Amino acid sequence: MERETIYNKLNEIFADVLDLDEVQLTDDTTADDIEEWDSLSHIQLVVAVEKAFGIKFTALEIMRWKNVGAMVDSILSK
Amino acid sequence: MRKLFIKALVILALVVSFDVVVGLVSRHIIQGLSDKRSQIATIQQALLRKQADVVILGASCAKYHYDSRIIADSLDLSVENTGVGGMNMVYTDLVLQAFLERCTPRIVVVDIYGQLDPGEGRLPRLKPFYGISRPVTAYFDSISSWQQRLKLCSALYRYNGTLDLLLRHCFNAPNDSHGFAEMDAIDRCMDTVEVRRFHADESKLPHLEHVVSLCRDHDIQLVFVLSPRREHDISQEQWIADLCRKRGILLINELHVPDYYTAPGLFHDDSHLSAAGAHLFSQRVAACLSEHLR
Amino acid sequence: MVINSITFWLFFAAMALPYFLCFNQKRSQNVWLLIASYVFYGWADWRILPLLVIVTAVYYGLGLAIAKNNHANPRRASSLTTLGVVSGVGILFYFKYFEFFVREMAGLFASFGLPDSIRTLHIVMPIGISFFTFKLMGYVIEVHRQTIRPTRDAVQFATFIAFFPTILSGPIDRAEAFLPQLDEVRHCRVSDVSEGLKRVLWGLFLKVCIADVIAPWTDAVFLNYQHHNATTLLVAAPLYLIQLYTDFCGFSEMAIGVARVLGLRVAENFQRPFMAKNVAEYWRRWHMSLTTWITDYVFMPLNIAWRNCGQWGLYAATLTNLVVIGVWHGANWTYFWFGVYHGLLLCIVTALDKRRKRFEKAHHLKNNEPYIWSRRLLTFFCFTLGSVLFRATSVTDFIGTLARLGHGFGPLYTEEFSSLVLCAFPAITLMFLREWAAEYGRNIHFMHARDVRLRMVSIVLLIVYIVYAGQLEGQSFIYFQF
Repeated sequence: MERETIYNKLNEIFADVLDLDEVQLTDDTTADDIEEWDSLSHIQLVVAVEKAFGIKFTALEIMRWKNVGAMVDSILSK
Repeated sequence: MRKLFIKALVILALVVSFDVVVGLVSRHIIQGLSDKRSQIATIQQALLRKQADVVILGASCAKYHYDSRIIADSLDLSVENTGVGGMNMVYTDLVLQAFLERCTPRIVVVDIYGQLDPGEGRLPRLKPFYGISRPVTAYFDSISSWQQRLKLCSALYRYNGTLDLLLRHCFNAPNDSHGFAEMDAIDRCMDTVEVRRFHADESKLPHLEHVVSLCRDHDIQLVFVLSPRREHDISQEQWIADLCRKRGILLINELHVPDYYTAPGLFHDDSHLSAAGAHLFSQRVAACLSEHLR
Repeated sequence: MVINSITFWLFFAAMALPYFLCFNQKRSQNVWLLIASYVFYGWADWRILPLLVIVTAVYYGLGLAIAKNNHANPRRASSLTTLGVVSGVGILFYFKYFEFFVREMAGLFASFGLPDSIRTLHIVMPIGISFFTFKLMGYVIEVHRQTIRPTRDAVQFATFIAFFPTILSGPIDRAEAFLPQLDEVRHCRVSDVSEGLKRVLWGLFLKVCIADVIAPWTDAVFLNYQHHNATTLLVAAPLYLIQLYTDFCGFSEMAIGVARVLGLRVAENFQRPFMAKNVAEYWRRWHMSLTTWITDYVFMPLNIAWRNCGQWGLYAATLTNLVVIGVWHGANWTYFWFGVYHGLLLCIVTALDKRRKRFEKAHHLKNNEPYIWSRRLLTFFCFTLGSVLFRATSVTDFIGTLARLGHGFGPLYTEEFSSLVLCAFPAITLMFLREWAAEYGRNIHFMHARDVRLRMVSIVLLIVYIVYAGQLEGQSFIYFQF
């Protein structure tokens, strides 16, 4: 899968879960950049991403993410 | 860095000048307190003013049990009650020393139960008299660590918390009862319970000895009294009785007198008599004293 | 050697002067800081010093080993991390909870009619253990998560663990924020020194003019709750919450201030909790260094593990999180139920979150002041109730206290109350004004005013107030026992 396709899909998921009209994610986006993205919605995001891509992350992987780019790397490695 | 240093010095100078002003004003106010029923005035009068033939010393039990007027009428001597709640043997010793600087009483009555219990109680309330009353100054100098002595140099520290005491003083009635205060009654007979848990606080024994020797040196009749109360500490009673026998101190033991426990309304709480109880108690003590004086 | 004693400040002066004047390299500064920290800790309880040194050495090694295996052998890295966490929890369990468990077990056996032959163990709880074990565990977890690199410098690591302003009672620092600061030379900066001392002064003010003045009165009420009426208890409960806050916030301010003078910034611990609009927010502002720690290392892993259980997984993680926070305070059922109580409150807040937002949107309440203040009051009330449970010596006492409320109102217990009115109430008012203003982005500039005269007069008046009105023969800090 291309990085770009992943980003398009992620933008949709984030907008849906966080109840926002539009989201533009980049490699450097972090939770600090989006107000609605807190520790609670973070988990919902993870669940939604796993479902959409049909994959499972390990707990350690999730906790090691520093930004969206790291998350995309994880998705690509699956 | 130099600027900071200068600022710190200015702050220090300002604090010190505040300290000096507060010290002067507080000292003036405390020395001039009128004779009211407030705690600070009771202490001030005991340490600086009062003179009497019979002095009653002790804590709250002294204050609430000994009606000075009854005892004075009965003995035909002047009586002052200097009891302050929460005090102990140290306070007793200091007040006696202060009295002796002004006059020589004929009789000193100490309400002894609990005077040797551990703990400093309300002794910190004497801090405002550091530098005003000689015995108090000597006492704090003798017990204080160097840190404590450093702190005592500050008037703000010495008069810490006195604002509260002084304000309360303003709302108090004049002391027309020579230090005695009446308490209301609970509407039942007091039961009694025996315990044995007395351990004389080592730090207070020298003060006890000092009181005994002061009375001996000044030819004062020293009287120890055990007031009635719910809790009867048998070991304490024994210890005090032994002491009195050995030193030839007159002991008035009211602890087991049934009269207090068979009628209702004589107690205020577990360890204090009501006004009616104090009336009975004062009469009995006065009778005992006059008999002994004869 | 308590932070508000003359001895401490002499120690501090003797420590800080050579720190800045003689040592001008980061390494020598760290060594000196470490020596001072061990002296300070040994002063409090020298018997525990060997334990501190040993665990520091072990976790230092663990950190390096985990980092080495993170890529080469992830499985071993995981088991080493587990070892670190388990031994941290084990140490904490042994010193803090073992005796309690033995006692409870003995009680259980006795209730089955079995003979209980176990005697009380008298384990001495090392002061500050709850704080430094958390630092140690956090460190190995972070190394495993690769959010930090382990330090190779043993002195640096030991200094981080034993750092004297925070070792006895927090704030619980993170290696990520603290270690890099030890990697640079600290210079004596005027701004740091003055800001640090101002925070110390403010902390002292909170402790001496509020917490210690309230303490004797609330003690008299709660220790003899059987003799008090509803009026007194209803006044005492919020006062106790304020006491708890000013006692611990006061300590934290002083610790942070002392560190700041040394040119080091440690974690903040409180952010105006009384201005919080709901319980969740309150917990994000109260003892932050502990709650963020537990959120990162207990709540998040649980939440991730249970992420497929939907809302219930979230509730379970929340409840566990708060129970851990509760039990962290000590081995007593009251702390457990304190955790459960707050866990349930948080679950309710989470469950109603979406509905509340919709409601606020529909009625344009987001910036409505009366609405916001009513939420603040409700939060304050919830925490007041929780603090009564926290204060109670046993669950029976807590229930007894609540039951007393049913005995009707009456005159307020006013023994020694006048010092509260004279000293604590003006101080509490000042504290609330300052926090309220700060919450709205304004500032009561009294100690930070632009005019230097105003600044100095404020400082002088604060000092005079502390020494003249404060409770100077106060007690130790509440959080020292945890």
